[in-house]
Amino acid sequence: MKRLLPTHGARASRPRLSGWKALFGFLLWSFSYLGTAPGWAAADDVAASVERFHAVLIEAMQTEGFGQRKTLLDPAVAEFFDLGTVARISLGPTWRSLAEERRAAFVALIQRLIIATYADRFDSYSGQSFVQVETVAASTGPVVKTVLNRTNDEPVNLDYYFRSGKAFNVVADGVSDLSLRRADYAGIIRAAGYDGLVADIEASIAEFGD
Amino acid sequence: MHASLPARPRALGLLAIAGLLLLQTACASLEGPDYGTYDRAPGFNRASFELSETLDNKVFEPVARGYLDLVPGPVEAGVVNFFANLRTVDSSINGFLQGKAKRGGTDMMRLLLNSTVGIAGLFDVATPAGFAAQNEDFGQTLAVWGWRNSRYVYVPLVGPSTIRDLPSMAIRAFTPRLLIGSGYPLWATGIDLVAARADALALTDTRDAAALDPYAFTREAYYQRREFQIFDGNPPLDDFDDFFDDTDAE
Repeated sequence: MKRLLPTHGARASRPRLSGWKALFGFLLWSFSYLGTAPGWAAADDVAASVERFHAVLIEAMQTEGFGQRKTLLDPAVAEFFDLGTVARISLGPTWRSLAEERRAAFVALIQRLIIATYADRFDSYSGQSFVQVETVAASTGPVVKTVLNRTNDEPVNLDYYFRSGKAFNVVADGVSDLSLRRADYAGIIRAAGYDGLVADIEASIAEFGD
Repeated sequence: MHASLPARPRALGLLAIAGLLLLQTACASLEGPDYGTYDRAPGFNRASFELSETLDNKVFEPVARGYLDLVPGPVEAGVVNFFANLRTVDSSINGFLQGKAKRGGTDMMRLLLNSTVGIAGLFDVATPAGFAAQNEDFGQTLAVWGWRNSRYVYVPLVGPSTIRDLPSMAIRAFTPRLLIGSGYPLWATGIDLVAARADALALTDTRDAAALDPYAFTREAYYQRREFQIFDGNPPLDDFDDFFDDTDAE
């Protein structure tokens, strides 16, 4: 039978490290492990992802025209957000009742809504800047804490919640975008059903940029 | 997922218990991220919201927009600063009631600086000097004392609140009159209200652009914002993992 563990004899035959060498080796191994551990790598990745998204938002604020801002934001939103998760959580239990093609259509609708919302809200630049504060761990993944500094107004805390490398929730001064969306949609679904919700979102998208 | 608040001072706790026995409305079991569960009178609240919105759209909002158009920016800022300075008294007292001496003291320094150097509060000289507004109130004090969650109430013509936050709402409304006394003119109350509505225009504009169901949106935003204020802008990290429960299990 093949042994998976070394025998006492095999262990005794290996060269014995002196104390300081063993310590040095352990530290070297620890740091190399920390450098490549998924959690640390993910923290760096999400911080860089937020940095890229913020750069696009600043560019959007400096871009004239709602349509131009939408074009600019389109790829950035698709890259930054986990749109499938945003759509799924926003719908709550209703998601389970949808067939695959309707789910895909709703994800596309949410993508259009998010792009239109950002293009509408980030429409003028007056010296705003983003600062990353720290990245902390939640059970769902890393959370990147940032601050939006405004010249003539109080700063806004923006926390980005990540799952599998993409953002699924933005919390502005304690108010969660995903929670608001979920509560907002629940009432519409109760009153008008899923189709009513889709119609309302379409109408909302159409109003942006007016 | 909500972490418990820091232990409160014993004496304040005893004082709080007496009040809570009168006011508590069996909220201990209402933990959770779905704030809709705190809305025990949705019929009344929604009707109150609709009535308030109708009047707001026809009267208060146009008046507030007209006020912003007519009054120059610095004057408008001075009015906001003046009333905010009076309410610093309320904020400071509640900072101390919550056992947060530093926050209470910061507000006292704000009051001192803005009332003197800031010419009766017309200019906010305290913020640049390092004494930022702490924005405490009695509702937050009750939360720190242990009344964490409370039933939702949409007060007609006033706005979103909870049973816990109603006394705070009244205190804030009457603070200028209480401090200035019988000489406080009625027109000043009017200016206070118009300035407050004008200050909230950006918020309601954002809500109107984003919300499909403004009533539910307002309720959710109110609870989340209060949680943020109760924890002085640093609430415990919410994992939002509850959201995944009802869709992950397929």
